Amino acid sequence: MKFCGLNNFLRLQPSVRLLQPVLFLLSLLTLSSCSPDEQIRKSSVILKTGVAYTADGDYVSPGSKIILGVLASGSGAPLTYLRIERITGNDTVVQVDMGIFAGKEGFDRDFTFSRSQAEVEFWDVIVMNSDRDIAKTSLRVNRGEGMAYGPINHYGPLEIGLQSNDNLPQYLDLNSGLLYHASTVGGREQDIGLVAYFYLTSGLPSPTLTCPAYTSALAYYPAMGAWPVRNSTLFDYFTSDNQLVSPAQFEAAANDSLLVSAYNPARVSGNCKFAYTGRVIPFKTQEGKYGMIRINSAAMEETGSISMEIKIQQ
Amino acid sequence: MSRFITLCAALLLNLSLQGQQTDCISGQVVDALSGQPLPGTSVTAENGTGTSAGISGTYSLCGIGKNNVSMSFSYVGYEPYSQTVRSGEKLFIRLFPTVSSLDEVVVTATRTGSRIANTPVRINTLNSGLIETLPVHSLDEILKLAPGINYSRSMGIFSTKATVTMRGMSAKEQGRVLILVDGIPMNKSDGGGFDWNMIDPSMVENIEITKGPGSAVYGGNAMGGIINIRTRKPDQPFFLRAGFDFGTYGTLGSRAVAGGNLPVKKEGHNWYYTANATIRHSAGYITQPDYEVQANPYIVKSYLKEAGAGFRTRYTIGNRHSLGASLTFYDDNRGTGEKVYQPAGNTTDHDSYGITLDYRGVAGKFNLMSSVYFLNEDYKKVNEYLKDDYTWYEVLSTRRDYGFISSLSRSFGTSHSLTAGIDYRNGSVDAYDKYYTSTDIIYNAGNMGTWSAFLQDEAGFFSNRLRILAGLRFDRARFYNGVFFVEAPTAETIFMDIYQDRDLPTHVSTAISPRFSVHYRFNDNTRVYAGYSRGFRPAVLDDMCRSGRIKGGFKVATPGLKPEYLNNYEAGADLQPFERGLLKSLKIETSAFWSSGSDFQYYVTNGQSIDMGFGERPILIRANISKAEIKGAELLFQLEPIRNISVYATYAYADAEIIDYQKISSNDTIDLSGKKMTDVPNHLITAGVSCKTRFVNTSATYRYTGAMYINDQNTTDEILLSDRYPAFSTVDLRFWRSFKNRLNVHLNIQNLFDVMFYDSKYNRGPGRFIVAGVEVVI
Repeated sequence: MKFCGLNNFLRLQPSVRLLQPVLFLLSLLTLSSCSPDEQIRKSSVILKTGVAYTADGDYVSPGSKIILGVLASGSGAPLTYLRIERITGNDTVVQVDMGIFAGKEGFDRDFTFSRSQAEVEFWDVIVMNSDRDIAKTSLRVNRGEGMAYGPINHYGPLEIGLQSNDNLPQYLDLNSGLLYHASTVGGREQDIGLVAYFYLTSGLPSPTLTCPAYTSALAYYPAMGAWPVRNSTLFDYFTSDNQLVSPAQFEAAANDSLLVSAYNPARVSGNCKFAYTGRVIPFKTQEGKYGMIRINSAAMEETGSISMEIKIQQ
Repeated sequence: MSRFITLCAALLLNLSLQGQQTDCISGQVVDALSGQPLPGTSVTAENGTGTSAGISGTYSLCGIGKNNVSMSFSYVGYEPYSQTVRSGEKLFIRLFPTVSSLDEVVVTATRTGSRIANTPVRINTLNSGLIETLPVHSLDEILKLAPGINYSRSMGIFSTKATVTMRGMSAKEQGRVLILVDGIPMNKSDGGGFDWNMIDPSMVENIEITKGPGSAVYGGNAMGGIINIRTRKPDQPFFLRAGFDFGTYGTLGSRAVAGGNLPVKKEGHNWYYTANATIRHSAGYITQPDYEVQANPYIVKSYLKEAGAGFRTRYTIGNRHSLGASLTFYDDNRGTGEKVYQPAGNTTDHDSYGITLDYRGVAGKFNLMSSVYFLNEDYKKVNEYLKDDYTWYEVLSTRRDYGFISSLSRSFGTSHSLTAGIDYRNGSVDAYDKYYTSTDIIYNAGNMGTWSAFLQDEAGFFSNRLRILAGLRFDRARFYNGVFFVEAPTAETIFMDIYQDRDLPTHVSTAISPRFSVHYRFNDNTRVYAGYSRGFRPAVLDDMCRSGRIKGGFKVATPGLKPEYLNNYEAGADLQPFERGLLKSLKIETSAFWSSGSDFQYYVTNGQSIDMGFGERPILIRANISKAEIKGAELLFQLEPIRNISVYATYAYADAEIIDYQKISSNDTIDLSGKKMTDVPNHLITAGVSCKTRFVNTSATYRYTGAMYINDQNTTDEILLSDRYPAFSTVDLRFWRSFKNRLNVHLNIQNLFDVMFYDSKYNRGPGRFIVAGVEVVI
C-alpha cells in the first residue's frame, strides 16, 4: 500500500483531516499484520539398508516380515508426521499414521510388517515437518515363494486385576503371558504391554484395555509415570466393537495368519474400551508383534478382573 | 453518572434574540439529552405569571412585567431551571433529567435518551460510583452484582471466555444476550460471543442492563436482555492516571489512562478524547484436577499475557452535531494448561480490534444517530497432546463483523416521539484447523448479512405519568458463501469426507419482533409497569458452516438453521416507600416474568454414528427442536442510610425448562421434554455494602449462585459425578484510598473464603485472589 497518495489526498481534503489519526492507526494495523515470507525448510527421508532390512525389489514370502528402517530429518524444522502405506494394485492401506516430534536429532525407527499375498507390494514412507514440507520414499517388495506364516504362542486363561483390585496382578507381559503385581513389576517395566481398568463412558460401563504409554492410563496406574520405559500397544478397537472376529475363529487360529490379517491399522488406539465378554481384540505390540486377545469374562466394577486368552506371534 | 448528570443539569443554551414584544418571552423546552420536546413544562415568571409549554415544547409568555425577570422552568422528572432574562428574549431551554430514584437517563431500551422513569421496561444501571467500589479485574465481573445476572468465568482472569446472561438464559452461551459498547453491537456472528477482556473496566462510565427481549429495537441476540457498556467521557481539560497492580499467582499489571475535554477556539465547538493502555501478565496456576495432574505428565500452569489499548474521541459542532470515533485493540495469549513439545504448550490467542465512527445530530425537528463499525478478531488456538501418538494442530479463525446502525427520531404532537431506523450487519468467519502431525487442513467459512428496519413510538400521557412504548422490527438474514472442506485428509479427518461441501446452500431467515409495554407513575418515586416483547437469537455461523468434533459426538454443519424466538410477558414495580428518615433513600424494584421460547436450538442425533478414531459416536446436528418455558422474578433493595454508606441486596429466581422436544430420528433415545436447561441457577443472591471514610474506603460484596444442571439430559455427569454443579457463595472485599487526589491505592480480595468451584471439565477456579495496586493521578 502506498501511503504517499493517501497523504496527498488528505492535504487536498482538509475536511477529512479529522480522520487522519484513525487512518494512521489503521495503517499501523495493516503494516503490523504483514510479515515477510518465511522460508520453508525441507524434509527428507531414506530407508536403511543392510541385511536386517527389506530392500527395494526384494522377494518376500507371504507371512514373512517386512522390516523398514526409517531415517528422516526436517532440516531444522521438527519432523511431525509419519505415514507408511502398503499399496497393492488399486488398494492402499495405511499401515502407520502417526504424529511424531523429532527435533534436530531426526527420526530413526524400525517398523515391522507382515507380507501379504499380493503379487507386488509398494511401500510408501512419507514424512512431514512443521513447515508442512513433505518427503517421500518408496519400496517395491515382490512376492516370494511359498508361505511363511509363523508360529504363535497361546497364553491363558489369564486373570488380570482392574485398577482397584490389589489381590490380582495388574501388569501383563504380552510376549510371555506373565502377570505381575505392583510389588513385583519393578525391573520388568520394559516388558509390560497391557493394563486394564474399568470406568463409565458415555453412560456405558466399560472394562478397558490399555497400555503403559497411553497417557490416560496413568490416571489408574500412576506408578507407571515413573517407569523408565512405557510400552505402546495398539488395539484394533474397530474389529472388537464390530465383533469381526468370533471367539471360534480365535480358537481355531493355529498360526499368525489371522493375527496379521485381522488387524486393521486404520482403526487402532492405545486404549480399547468395551472389552466385554466374547470380544476378540487384535493388537500389535511396540516391537511389531501381532496378536489377539479373547475376553472370557470382564467385571463391571473397578475392584474386579478380566479373564482373557492371548495368541501372539512368537 | 448521577453526579455527572447533576452537574450537567446546570448547563443551558441561551439563544438571545430580540423579541417583538417588550414584556414577553418565548422559546422552546427540550430534553437536554435526547433533544425531545417537553410539552407541558411549567414556565413561571417571578411576578407569578405563568404558562405551560405547548406542542413541540414551545412556549410564549407575556406580562412578565419588567426587564431582568427571573424565569423558572420545571417539568416532572427534570431538574428545575431558573434564569434571569430580559423581556423580548427568545430562550431555548434544555432541561436535564433529575437523578433521584427512577431518574437515571438511559439510552439502551429505546435508542433515545430516556429516563428510566419514562421507560416501561426493567432497567438496572451500574454507575461509576458503584463500579469504583467493586473488586473487579475484568469488565464482566462488574455485572456479577446486578440482580438476576447469570455469570460465568470459572477460572477468573485465566478464563479464555466469560459469559453474562440473564432471565433464565444459560451461562453456557453469550449469544442470547446482546452486548453493546456505546451502542455498538458486539456479539460475533460466528459464535454469538463477546470477548469481555477487550474493554478495560477502568474505562467504563456506566452499564445499562435492559432486562427481557429487546429485539424490537436491536434485533438479534437481544433475547434475554441487553447490556450496554458506556465508556468514560472526560470532564476536565486534561487528566492522566497511571498505575500498576500485583497479586496472587505472580500477577502483574499496569494501566494508563489519559484524556481531556478541550475547548476549541470556534464558539460552541468542543473536543474530547480518552486513550488507555493496559498490560497484564500472570504465571497462573494448575487448573486441572489432581487425578489428571497425576495421569498427565504434560500438565502445566494456565498462564496469562494480555495487552489492550483504546482511543475514543468526540468533536461537537455547536450543540446540534457531533462526530465520534473509537479504536480498540486487544491481544492476549493464555496458556490452557498442557505442554508437550511446543514452547508455550496449548494456548489461545485473540488479536482483536474494533473501529467505530458515529454521528449524532439535530436537524430541524429530527434527531439523527448513525454509527458505522468494524470489528475483527483473529483467533488462534494451539492444541497439542500425547495419547497414542503426538497430535498438534492450530485453529486459526478470522471473525469479522461490520455494519451500520441508524435511527431518526421526531416528536409528533404533545405525546408521541417516533423513532425509526435501518440497520445492516455483515458477519463472517474464515477459519481453518491446520494439523502439523498429519497433512489435514479443515476449512470452514461463511457470511451472514442482515438488513433490519424498525419503528418505535414512545408515548406519554397525563404529564408522562402514563407511558407507552410500542415498537416493531423486521430482520432479514441471509447466510451465503458457506464452505466446509478438508484438504489432504488422513485418519484424523477422513471421516468428515462425506460432509464436505464447497457451496453450502444459501439460507434466508426472517424475524419479526414486536414490543408493547406500558407503565404508570403514581409519583416521582413509584411506578408499575407491564409489557410484552419478543426476542430472537440468530443462528450462528459456527453452527451453519462448521462440522467437527464436539463433546458427545460429531457435529454436522446446518446451513438451514433458523433463529430461536422468545415471547416474554412481564410486570413489575418500583418504589421508594419512605419519604423521610433513615430509610428515605430505600429503593425497591421488583419484576416477574414468564417467557415462552420456540425453535430453541439443541444438538440432536440424526440416528447415525461415525468413527472419529476412537469408536462409534453419534452424529449430531444443531436443530430448532424444542420449546421452552422460562419463568422468574427479581427483587432489588438499595439504600443509602447515611452519606457515604450504601447497601444493596438482590434476589433472583429463574426456572428454565424444555417443554417439548421434537426428535428428528426415531432411534434417538434422548427426550429432553421436562428437562431443565443447563447452566441456569434457580436462585441468585447478591448483597453488598460500601462505606467511605476519611481513612479508608471499604466495600464487601456477597454472591450466592444456586445449583445448576450440567448436561441437557439432567443426568449424572461422568466427570463431576453429579447432575448439578453445586451451589456456592463468594465474598469479595475491596479497600481503597486516595491521598490528596494524587495517589490512589487499593487492595482487592476476591473469594475471601477460598471457595473452590469447578467447570464442566472439573477444572478448578483460582480460589482466593488478592491484588494490590497503586495509581498516580495527574
